[in-house]
Amino acid sequence: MPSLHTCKEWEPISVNKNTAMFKFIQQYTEKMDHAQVYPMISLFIFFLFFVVLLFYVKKMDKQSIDTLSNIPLEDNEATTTNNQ
Amino acid sequence: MQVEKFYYDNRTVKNFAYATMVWGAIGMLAGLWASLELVFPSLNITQYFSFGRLRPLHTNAVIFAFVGNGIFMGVYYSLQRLCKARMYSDMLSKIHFWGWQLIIVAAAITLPLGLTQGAEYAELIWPIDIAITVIWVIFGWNMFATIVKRREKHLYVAIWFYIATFVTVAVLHLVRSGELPYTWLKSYSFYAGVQDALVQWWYGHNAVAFFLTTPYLGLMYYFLPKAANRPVYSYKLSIIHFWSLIFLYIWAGPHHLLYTALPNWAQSLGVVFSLMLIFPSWGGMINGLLTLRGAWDRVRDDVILKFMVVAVTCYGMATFEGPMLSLKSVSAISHYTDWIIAHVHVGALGWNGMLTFGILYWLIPRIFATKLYSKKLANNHFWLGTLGIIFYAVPLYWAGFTQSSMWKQFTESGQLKYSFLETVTYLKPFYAMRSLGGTLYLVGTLLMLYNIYRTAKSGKLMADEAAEAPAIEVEKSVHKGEHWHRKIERRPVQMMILSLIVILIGGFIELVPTFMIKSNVPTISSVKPYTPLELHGRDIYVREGCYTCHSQMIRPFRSETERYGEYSKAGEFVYDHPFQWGSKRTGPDLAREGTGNLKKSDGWHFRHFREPSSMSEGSIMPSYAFFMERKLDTSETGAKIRAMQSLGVPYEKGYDKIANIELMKQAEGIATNLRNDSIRISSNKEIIAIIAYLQRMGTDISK
Repeated sequence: MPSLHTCKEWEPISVNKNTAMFKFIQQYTEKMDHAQVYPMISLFIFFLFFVVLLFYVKKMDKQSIDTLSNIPLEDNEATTTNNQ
Repeated sequence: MQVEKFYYDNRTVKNFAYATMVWGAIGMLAGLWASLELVFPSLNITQYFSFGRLRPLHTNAVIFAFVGNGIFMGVYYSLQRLCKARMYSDMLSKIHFWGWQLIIVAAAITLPLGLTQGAEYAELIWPIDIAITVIWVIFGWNMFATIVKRREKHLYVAIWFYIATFVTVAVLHLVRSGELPYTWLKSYSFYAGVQDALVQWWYGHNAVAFFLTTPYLGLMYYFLPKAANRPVYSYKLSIIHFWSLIFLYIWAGPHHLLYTALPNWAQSLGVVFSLMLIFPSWGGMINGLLTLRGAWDRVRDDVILKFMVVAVTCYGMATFEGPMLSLKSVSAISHYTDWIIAHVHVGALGWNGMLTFGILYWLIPRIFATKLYSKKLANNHFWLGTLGIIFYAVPLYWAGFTQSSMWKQFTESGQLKYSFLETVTYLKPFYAMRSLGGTLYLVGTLLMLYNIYRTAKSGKLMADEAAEAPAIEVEKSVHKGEHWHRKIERRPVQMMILSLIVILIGGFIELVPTFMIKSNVPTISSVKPYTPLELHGRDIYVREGCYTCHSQMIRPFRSETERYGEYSKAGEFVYDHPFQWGSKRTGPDLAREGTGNLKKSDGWHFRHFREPSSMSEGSIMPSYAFFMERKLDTSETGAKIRAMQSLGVPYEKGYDKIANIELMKQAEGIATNLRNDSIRISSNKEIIAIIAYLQRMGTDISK
């Protein structure tokens, strides 16, 4: 019985072999190693994104926040009938 | 400043509202019927309504017809008011409405006919996929053009959710629909095996996120303040909620594939981001509930608020449970069981259903300029709905735990304690109780249909509702020192691009390495493409929706390897377009059906398909006697082989020409086996192909 984990020469499995552009990219990317680094990169990106977001939200002034949060209520019940 | 007079379009809102109610009732009825089939297998009436075909009809109807029309109803109502402008084009609104309904009708015809792509929530065939793309673009066009001509400077947070929904659903749909047509109704997925699985659950999870969640959060941010008559609790929190939610959601898909053959790093990625998701989700829930601060006394009397409070609470419960289910140790217990079905229904019945009902009760009297026909009926609906959810979810939670612990139990001598069938028959009473819950919920919905019908009849539709607002010049220039977010808030296109970037980061980092890095899918030299007959058999397997009850993925647990054999490897699925790992085990796993202890004779399979309970007493599987009647359509064999070749499956050049000769040879062999087992059947029937496929399963690595 052959070993289950032997890597044979790589053949693109799920992609049309005629796509030259794909092969061009693939010859570089298939050599990428250490996929484990991806979760770390992603966590870092999110952390940075989140900190910047928090910082700016903190800085928003109260006046504009009030205006914004009242937008849905501006037309309140002028033209409509309450069913309660 | 000059005040402009204009009219809101309520006709489109009404159309979508009616559509959501009617399709909702039909979708729920399909679900109820499917659930009863598990208790009374004789309800699998004809091939068209067998469980495997009915269940996709139910899920698609509820997601895309009930919730889909609910989204459009809410968006068309709220967007016009938030922008202080009529929808950009009545013609586009009309095309959008009728186009979407036609898509639903097409789905309702094709799914019972067994025309499917075999990917959960993406079953619809390629011509319908194209129609969805066109109609979605029309919706986006209408929405953006309305935003552009608005009379309100800022984009309220609800609109951001609509924009993120539009852009992300477009990306998800395009990537998931990557398929190669080989006839005008059929196609194969571009992706195979592990990669197809990752694309599927990246899509599947985000269909939950960006079709069932973000648009409904947008609706919550508009309709809850309206119903409570007070602004949202914290607008700042809504900003954080929005950006964190769309950033995190897109990564969470792999939590559907824990302990499978998916590379481990991708599984961990899914776990971490799923756990983090609890924070924005609960931020949103708290923001919703606290909007009612100081108005809690009104919840006692106001039925609309009751619906909304239950909806937001269910959202909180489902989004707490989701991250917990994403922990590997919890997934080991919950995956493939009814626990997951309970979980999604807390979301669907609770969050989507109850919010839709609340909005309908609020909105219909307003656009018809009348009062709700009966508050009492609405209250009855509320209680039927709430009890329905409880009666639905509790038995299935119980069933899920029971099922999992029965699967995993060993005797003192180290044997599996229960056969798979014992676990199935044990669960029947729970399935019956679940159907009771579903019935209550459906009856509530029917009460609402009547109540809304009487309400509409008592008023008259204000098809064009007059409104006034000052015209504004949307500033193009940026003020010095102005807040960055407020600049984006005014610019829908930038908002869309930023949302797109945020979701693409997740998509790319997750998907690209899986496709590119060779060590992610170690090849196995003994794994060979399917023979033409097996390929036909596999397509029948997909057509019948066998994946709705059977998995093809053995996890590396002793309880599974003892029951099913060697755990599944990524390299075994490289020719599977589409993958068929499944997500639920109402029946046993089939990954090694053709090998080891599980191997059965051709005759056994024949008799089992004709009458499952004759071979497995108490089985709830539908009868597939029509496989013995239906002739195998070999006219498509060549096209199938050529399509597979284009997708990279290494059939020899010119194999499509001789494929049918080999097919007949293999079919004759099986027919002879059956004859030796005193079964007379012609070799050109579908049963021969499906037996060939089942006998092939899992055999590659034992060669």
